[in-house]
Amino acid sequence: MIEFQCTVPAGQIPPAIRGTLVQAIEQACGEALGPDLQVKVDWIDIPKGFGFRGGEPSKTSLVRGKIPDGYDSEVRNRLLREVGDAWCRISGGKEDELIVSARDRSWTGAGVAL
Amino acid sequence: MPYYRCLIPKDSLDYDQRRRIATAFTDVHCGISAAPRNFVHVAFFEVDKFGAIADSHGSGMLEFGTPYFIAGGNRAGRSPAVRKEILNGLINCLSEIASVPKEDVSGHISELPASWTMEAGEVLPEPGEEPDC
Repeated sequence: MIEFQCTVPAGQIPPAIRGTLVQAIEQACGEALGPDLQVKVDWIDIPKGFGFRGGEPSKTSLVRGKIPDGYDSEVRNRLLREVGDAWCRISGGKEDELIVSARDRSWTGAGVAL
Repeated sequence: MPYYRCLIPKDSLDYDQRRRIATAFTDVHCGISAAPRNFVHVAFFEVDKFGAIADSHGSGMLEFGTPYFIAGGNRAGRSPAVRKEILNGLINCLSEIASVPKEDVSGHISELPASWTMEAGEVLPEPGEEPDC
């Protein structure tokens, strides 16, 4: 199972195009990672006035994926690029208002806490 | 791209406070890491009670037991000591601007390899290899 979580500023990605974006993510996964992989996409909306970039109001969407372990950098970069290109094409958004990531399922993140 | 999600009680912070906290977080992160300011993303989510949130840069859930919680994600490559220094700075800023005791704020910073993230059409550079801005 591949999981994507799309965190978007409220109003930036209308509900009407989210289905198309999900299909594009599914297609990008199929082409980059191989067929027959299930893809799940969730959405989180950041209310207006609650998202910032560099201290200023943000229009940036974050599309974060979790993929099976073992893909090399060329495959991962292809996935990031295809998801990013499709997102901008479908949403009309700018490239610099999008972050796409794809981490290995087993990656733990080596966190620090206080 | 450092990404800091602040879980806060409902109606606890107004827009001005949120913006000041986001700016302060940017100051702290960039002051310690030398990352460009427009790399720093801060989002606020209002919650009803203590609980857990999915780790944005690792796996599993992050449980928290304070009214305010900072769930952070950084590019991999900085030592745990540096990430703790950043986190301590963020906690201090939030506590001060929100006018709450430090004991009411906790946090966690995970890391992710830079090469696993694309921002503005480019795969992220390793920490310390950012172009001059």
